[in-house]
Amino acid sequence: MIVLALMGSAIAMWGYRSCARDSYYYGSTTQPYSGGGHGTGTRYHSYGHTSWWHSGSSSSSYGSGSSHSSGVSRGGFGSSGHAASS
Amino acid sequence: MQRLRTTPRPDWQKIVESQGFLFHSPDEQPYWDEGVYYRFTSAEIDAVEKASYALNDMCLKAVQHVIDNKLFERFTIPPPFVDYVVSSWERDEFTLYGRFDLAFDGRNPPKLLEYNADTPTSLLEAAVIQWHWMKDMLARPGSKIDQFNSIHERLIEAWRSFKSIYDGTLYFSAMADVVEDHMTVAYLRDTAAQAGMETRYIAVEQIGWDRDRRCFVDEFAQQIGCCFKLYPWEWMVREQFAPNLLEGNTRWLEAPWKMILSNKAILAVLWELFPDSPYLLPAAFDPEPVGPSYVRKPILGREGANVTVTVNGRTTLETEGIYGGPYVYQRLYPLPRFDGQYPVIGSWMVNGYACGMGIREDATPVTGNTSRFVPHVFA
Repeated sequence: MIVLALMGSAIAMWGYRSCARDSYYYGSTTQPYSGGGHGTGTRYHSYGHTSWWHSGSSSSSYGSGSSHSSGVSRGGFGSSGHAASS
Repeated sequence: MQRLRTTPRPDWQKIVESQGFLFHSPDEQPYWDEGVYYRFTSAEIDAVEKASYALNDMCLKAVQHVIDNKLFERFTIPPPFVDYVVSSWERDEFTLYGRFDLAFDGRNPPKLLEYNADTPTSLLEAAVIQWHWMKDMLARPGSKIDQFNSIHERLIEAWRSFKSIYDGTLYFSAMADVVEDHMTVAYLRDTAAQAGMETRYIAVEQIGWDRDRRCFVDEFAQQIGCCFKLYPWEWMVREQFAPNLLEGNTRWLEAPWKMILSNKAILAVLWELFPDSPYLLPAAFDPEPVGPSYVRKPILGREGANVTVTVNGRTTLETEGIYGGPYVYQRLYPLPRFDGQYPVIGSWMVNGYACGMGIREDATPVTGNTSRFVPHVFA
């Protein structure tokens, strides 16, 4: 639960950053990298443009997993118990 | 290509945490290390970019070869899933991303060590954290640096493209309680949201199967139409819900055909098809063709686990892990060494574009889940 609380905290921070990020353009253009250069002046970050975490939708997934349908089974994926990163 | 020392930003932990990077020091060991960085020339970056495009092209041809020659047993793809994989390929199902791991010393052509084509991570670090680090470095007097990094923009662009194919709710799923995995999909979800997609998160363990409606559902019994899962295909097709994959009509990202490319058996196929490529190392399903010095990797191994290094017939290094054979054997290629550290380049492909890179380094030649991420610049 501590882990989840920390994650929620970070997500909230992202959301906070997004409030101020309109001044966060890097360089003078918002054009995506076109392949000619490699970075500076060709990209910007725009976290949380849609601020999905403010809607509370992200936290809903941390529920108990109880189902509204009796015909639903769960736990059929995720039995490995390992991190899936590579 | 140089490895340079620098002064970490004061309160760097708080800075990167504010950017969503919580797993910078797991188990009190530094994973994100901004006390050093790698500096490249523009020509060296061009070499990485060129190699990545060439490798991507070869990989796609190799998938076709595997399918045409029915090599699925080599890849240990369960027979019931062969048609599932093939039809996914024939429908040209969308692929978001992948990461080539390259050995590169700045002088010789980059060499492919492996391709993380299904569940690559270190994405947030590469796309965001090192970018902000570079911006802070730019503020220092005399800095004229740049970074090979448009990963973030390419991700948003990719989702915009995908939205024209699928405009329903896009689910993002990772193992519960695994911070790295969760934050990676949280970041990816953010890029999809910025592209205008409606998104939801569901833990892998919470994905449900509705026996009456014969479909995968979320916690609220809503059908999952499309799901990005940070969960390997080779596990999915062997777990309890595996048969339901064939019956349900959920669209999964990465696509099922990535099962072929994320399997290290592809290294042997690539070498068979393109032995003259400057970007490939000899690889085979037995050690003899690759010579007396080789690296043995489980074809479904992860994070550098169960890798053995053999030099002139003698095993010199063996990592622990849970994975067994089958194995692929790849000719040993000495990684460059800087200050006693071995860097591996992770070159990102997003939506078909080579668009950035990250570097992991380790005190041993095998990059594992404790290898540090260090930023890069070029000038």
